[in-house]
Amino acid sequence: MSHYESFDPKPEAPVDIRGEFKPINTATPGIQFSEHIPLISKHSNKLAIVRSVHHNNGAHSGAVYLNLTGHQPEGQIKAKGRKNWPSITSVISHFHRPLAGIPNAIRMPYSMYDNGRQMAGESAGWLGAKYDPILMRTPAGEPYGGVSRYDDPALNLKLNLDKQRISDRLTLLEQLDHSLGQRLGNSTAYEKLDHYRQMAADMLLGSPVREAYDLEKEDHRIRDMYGDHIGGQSLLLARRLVEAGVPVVQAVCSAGDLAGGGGDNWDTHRNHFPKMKNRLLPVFDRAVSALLTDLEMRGMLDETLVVFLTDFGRTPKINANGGRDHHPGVYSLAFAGGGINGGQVYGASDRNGIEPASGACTPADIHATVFKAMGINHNAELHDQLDRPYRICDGKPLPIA
Amino acid sequence: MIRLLLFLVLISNQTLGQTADQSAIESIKKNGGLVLPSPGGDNRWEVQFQLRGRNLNDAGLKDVAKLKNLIELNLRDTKITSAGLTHLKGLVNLTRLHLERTNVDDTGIVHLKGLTKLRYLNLYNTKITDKALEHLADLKNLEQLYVWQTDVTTVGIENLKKKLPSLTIVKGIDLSKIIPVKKEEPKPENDLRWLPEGGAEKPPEKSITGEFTIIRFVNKRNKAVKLFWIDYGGKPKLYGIIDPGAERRQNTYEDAVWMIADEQEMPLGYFVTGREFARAIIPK
Repeated sequence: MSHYESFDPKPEAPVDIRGEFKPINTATPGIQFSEHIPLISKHSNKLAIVRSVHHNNGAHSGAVYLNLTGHQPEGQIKAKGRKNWPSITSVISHFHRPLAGIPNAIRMPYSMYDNGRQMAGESAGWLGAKYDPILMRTPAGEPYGGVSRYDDPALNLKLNLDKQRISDRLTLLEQLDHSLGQRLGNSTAYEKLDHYRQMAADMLLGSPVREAYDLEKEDHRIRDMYGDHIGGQSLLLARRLVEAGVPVVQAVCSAGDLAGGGGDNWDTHRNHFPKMKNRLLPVFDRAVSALLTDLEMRGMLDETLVVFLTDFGRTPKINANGGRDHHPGVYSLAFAGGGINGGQVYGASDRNGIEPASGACTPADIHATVFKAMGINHNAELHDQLDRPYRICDGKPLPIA
Repeated sequence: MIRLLLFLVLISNQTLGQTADQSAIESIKKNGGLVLPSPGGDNRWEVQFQLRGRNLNDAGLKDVAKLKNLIELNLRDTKITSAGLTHLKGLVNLTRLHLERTNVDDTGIVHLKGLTKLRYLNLYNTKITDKALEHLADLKNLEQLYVWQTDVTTVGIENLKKKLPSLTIVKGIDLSKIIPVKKEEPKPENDLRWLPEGGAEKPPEKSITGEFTIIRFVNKRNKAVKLFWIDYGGKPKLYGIIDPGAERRQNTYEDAVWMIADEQEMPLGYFVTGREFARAIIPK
């Protein structure tokens, strides 16, 4: 997401860099945001903005991997590769185990694709299938514009089967398993299947997760507050899932496919300003401010860490198509909630928003900050399936807690 | 010898303490409670009922009260009432207490008066009024108080703030003031050209992606039609069925190819989208 049009406006920069939008004051004296996130700007006292993140990977796939795993991609990375570094969601769920029947981690509403290729970084990698976040479709909200090409299997809890029938079938399955298990022994594939099936069964039969999934149970005014869009309803569902005991939830605020700049997403190579103003920022602004309001008035904000990630910033120069291109040289992220002091900005970009001027930090430092806030030692070691040790993070926590 | 004796005494004390806690913990677990060690020393506990222990009632709180070193307690969504809170009186080490979304009212809050270590108290969506806040005036360590969806008024909040100036009281927003996003449905600016199957003008073989747009399909036939999007690889993907006389609003991108077929999926014709919002009229 463009840092210029969100958390790091550059009113002093030349007009061909600063763009069409103006800065606005936030609730925190001395902190300004761009004008089309007016609702979020009222929550600045809850936010720690980091304006000095940078890396050197200008491709979506590498940058998404880097921001989600905290590690540079090595060689060819594949979406479901078991040599990949685990997503931060998987690592967190390793340290914060849920109760039985509740998934380790949930991601929604789509996997991320870059021009037809599913991107790596969203799964558990070498931590193993047990820690893969479960993909869940948001049950309500207006779809992202256009057509999404992808339809990877997602968990659907809207089945109208009654509990007795599910129980009956499970009993039958157990009997089959017994004879099958004796024949197959303990093959890994079989165990994996069993893990998922047990979890699915637990959820269908009465986990708080199933109840959380039913957005019809939410006050319709709260649903309106988040906005009748998959982006808003995803964040609402995220809150309900956290309430239901899911340790970590990832919501992607965009359509599933990065369709090369023409799609309805943040990859604004063309017509950047009208897209940001009319379609992208309003959803983001409404959904995020609703989430912060909602978490605060339920007393959940200081127990919940909210982190806004993106792949990179956008280029200073506006291109011939009125777009901004990829710019990992510097970009902005935001934190709110558990263990974070709001109303602050960490680091700064230079006058024209090209590179960090102070407090330069990397995705690994962002991850270390998340781990620290979650009470996880960022130098901890985890072991892969062959019991080889890996230190989970190479970064240093930022002093924003 | 003395050293050894001391050692033994120490062991037995700890064992006794642990045994008392262990039996309480067993009972809590039977009621669906989750018991976690709380940081900062041995036998400090955090107990949660909000996930699997929502059937907890006032009687069940007796077991909770046995954990003298209980630091955090979450009773959200449980069946406890004000009467049950009398059991919490002795839990003087509590720093965080969740009572939100229960039937607790003003009469229960009296029992919290002695919990002077409380820093966090959540009472949202309970039956409390300003009266409850008066009982909290001596909780000098209280930092956060949540009273959204209660009958607490700004007057009550101001009065408590006078006594506890550093306390943050979250009243939340008035839900009746939420204004749904007004969706301005763009008016179709023109009609897309119908390219009949087998006609002189052929549609492109596949869709190309461009800017976002919306197409309103109108079926003027007296039979239902099937709507297919021709994907980026040239393959048709079924999007839905449009009944006779019916309309369908469809998000798409410019330069997309949409195929109309009969119910047997025999192609009837095509539309190619432009950048503008448009109508696509399927002829009789």
